[in-house]
Amino acid sequence: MSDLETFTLEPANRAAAAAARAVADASGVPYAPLVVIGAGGTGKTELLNAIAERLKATHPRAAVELLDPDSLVERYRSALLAGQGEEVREQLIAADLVLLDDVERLARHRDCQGLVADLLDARRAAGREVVVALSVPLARLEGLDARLVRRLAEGTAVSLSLPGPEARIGILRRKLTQLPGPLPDEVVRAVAAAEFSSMRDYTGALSRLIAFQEASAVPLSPEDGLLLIGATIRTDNRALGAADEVLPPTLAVRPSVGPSAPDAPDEFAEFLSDITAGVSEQVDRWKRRVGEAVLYWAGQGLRTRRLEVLLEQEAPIDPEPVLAEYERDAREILALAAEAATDSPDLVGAEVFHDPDQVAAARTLAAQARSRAAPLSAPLAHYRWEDLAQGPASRLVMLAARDIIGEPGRRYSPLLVVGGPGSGKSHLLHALGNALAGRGVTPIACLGSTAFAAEVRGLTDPEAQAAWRQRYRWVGALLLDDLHLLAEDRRAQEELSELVAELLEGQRQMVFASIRPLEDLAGFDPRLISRLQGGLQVELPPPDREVRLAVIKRLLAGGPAAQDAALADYLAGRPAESVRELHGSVQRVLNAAAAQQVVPSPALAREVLEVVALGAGRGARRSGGTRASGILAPGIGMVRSKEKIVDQWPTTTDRLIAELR
Amino acid sequence: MPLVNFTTREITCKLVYYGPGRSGKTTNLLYIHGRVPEDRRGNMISLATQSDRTLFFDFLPLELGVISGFTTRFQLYTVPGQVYYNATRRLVLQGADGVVFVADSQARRFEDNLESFQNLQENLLDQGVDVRQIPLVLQYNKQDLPPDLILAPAELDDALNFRAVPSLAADALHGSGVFETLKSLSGLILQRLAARPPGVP
Repeated sequence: MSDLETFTLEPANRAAAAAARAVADASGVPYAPLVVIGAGGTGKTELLNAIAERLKATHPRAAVELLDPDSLVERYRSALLAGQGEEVREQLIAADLVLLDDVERLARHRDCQGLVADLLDARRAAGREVVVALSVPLARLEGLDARLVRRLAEGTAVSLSLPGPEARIGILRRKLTQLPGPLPDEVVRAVAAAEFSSMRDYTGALSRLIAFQEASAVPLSPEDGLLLIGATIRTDNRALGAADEVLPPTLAVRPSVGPSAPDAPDEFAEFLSDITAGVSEQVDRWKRRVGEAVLYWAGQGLRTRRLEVLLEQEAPIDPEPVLAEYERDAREILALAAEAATDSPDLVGAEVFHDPDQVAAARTLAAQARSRAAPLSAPLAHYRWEDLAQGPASRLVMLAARDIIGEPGRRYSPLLVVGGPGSGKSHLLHALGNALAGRGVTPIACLGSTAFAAEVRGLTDPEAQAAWRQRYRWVGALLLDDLHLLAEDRRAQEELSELVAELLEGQRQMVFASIRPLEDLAGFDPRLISRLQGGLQVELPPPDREVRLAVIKRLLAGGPAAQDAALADYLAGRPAESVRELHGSVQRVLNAAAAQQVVPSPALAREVLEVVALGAGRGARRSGGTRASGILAPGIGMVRSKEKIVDQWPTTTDRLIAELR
Repeated sequence: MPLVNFTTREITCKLVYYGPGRSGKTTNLLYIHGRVPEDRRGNMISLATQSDRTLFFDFLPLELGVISGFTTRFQLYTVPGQVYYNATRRLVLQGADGVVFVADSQARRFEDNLESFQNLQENLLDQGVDVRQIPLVLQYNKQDLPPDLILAPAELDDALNFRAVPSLAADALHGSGVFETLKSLSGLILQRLAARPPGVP
């Protein structure tokens, strides 16, 4: 129904139709602006559409902007965020025609009222037309700035009324031609005579009856039709006509404001009006500035209540100090949020980082994030999960570790790995830490108990203690080696106990390693033991043959004996209580081969290790056998050759006799 | 004097009517006074001699009410036109937000107009006011007199309006052009509101 002819059917609306046609055809002087006033459902939007369509029909390349307050605000807000607010202004000013619907709804967007007032000014100055639709008369507009109201009042107002019954018949008949399915004309006439408050209701009723008629084989009667749409026929045509006049029947095109009495002008009133407009305009500029600031900072995700208060005040305060202070706080909030995002990504969504009124709280939270981000002892990078060798004996601990990597913190937390010295506990912990980091679990604290205890001992003041606790409270995973070394260290145990409780609550992954099982740990706080007992305890046994073989192959890899299966088999077959001992054995063979400049072989290995074993056995006895250092004296392989070994040094007499000979 | 005071939420504008003696400055104020409702105007203070010449100055305060949250006041002053009252003129001119130069359109007063206009510029310069920046409107009064006695506005423009400021023909005695002049100067002053950072004196 977007056709200006439709509006000419109602005599009361012909003036509006004529003005609309003049705008669409760009004939005559601009109304600057043309203000279409009509109650809801009288066809204002239709009229605006009709103007736009008519102009596009005659000038297909014409730039027509048909906007309502919401779409205008959205567009302007997006443009401001993109730093293109001025471009949108220029586009709107330069458009061939701008049509603004439901302008009274601008009351909800105070920050854009200045934009519209400026737009009206600029387009009027440029001789370009604006058509504005209002649902309420100008005198009853509420919530709009005085300058905008004045600009609207300076335009030309036309009223749009609900068409009378005869015009409605014509409109509904035209509508019927656009809808599928026939409807008896007497039903159309009955609908037109029914009592509705807007044309939308009439066309809606018509659509419902058409749908009903399509489904029914029996032609609708007017009475049935009215029954279906829940309406009654008006009997008093005079009253019908009077009731339809939503606005006074002064429908001629007229200036909405004019001199009150030309023969007795009130010069002071005119002067006062000018001053009022002038002052309002200047004050509005500040309001617009505040409005733009609201849009900009809201687009940055910040609360703008402090600025909105300025717009709500009838008596404005000086906005500049408030704007400057808000901008300073907003920038600090954004900087703090960015810092926190780096330090602790989980804090990005915190409300305080979106509210410049909570700068103090944001500073505190950012400080917390900073303390959390202080570097923790990370797992050593060269202990890789892929390098861990698995044998039948270590199957259980490896399964648990894989489950932990799959679901950190959900299963087996805490996990206690119990194994003898050199069994690979440290390797396992660091490798597990690296694997968790690879899964995005951050930050990871991986350290030995002695380092942990030293950190606790270094907490000399409450502030440092709080910061330290903050750091560990937010770890993604805690891996603590040599737990047994915390024995009798009450303070470290106390901190660890609290930390375990916190991390359990936060479902963070914890892995501990100890040479003794929990039940054998002496000198420990029962609360800590109790909390650790809630997890899983697994044993990491000495390396079995499969593990030894895998380790040996890795150690030989890249060397001249990498493919020597016999050598690997020989080495793996030798008993070893720990991976560390295995490393030592292989290293001795490799060192001997290097010294003799030969390729490592089973024979060399046998010669080195079996002879050394004897000495090492003695040495082991001397040193108590706690650790195999793996460091050998240079050339020891040659020195220990059977031909060159002197079991007993000769006495001085024997040496003299030998020399005399 | 601050033009806009956000603390007290007041806009106060001081307008000074300047010009040679007997050019019609007081007549302008009297006409305005007569058109302003009583509740909007204060008492017009006029210190005049027995021969109706302004001895010191005229003062007409106008209360324009609360506009956009600001209590708006206009204070209209005239200066004594006689050459020997220059000290008074300088005093009145202090802190002016805008000046109406009321020129006497009579041909025989041409030199007086030039002298007074020159005096205005000197006094403004003495007070450190940039004559190119202060809002200024020229009013060519007494245009109701017979044409052979007066100069046309265009002729007066040639002589006085070398800065191309707004100029208006007027007959202050009967009110023609009086409010137009006031509106013109007020408009210029209000435009400066936007140019001047709010709150800055």
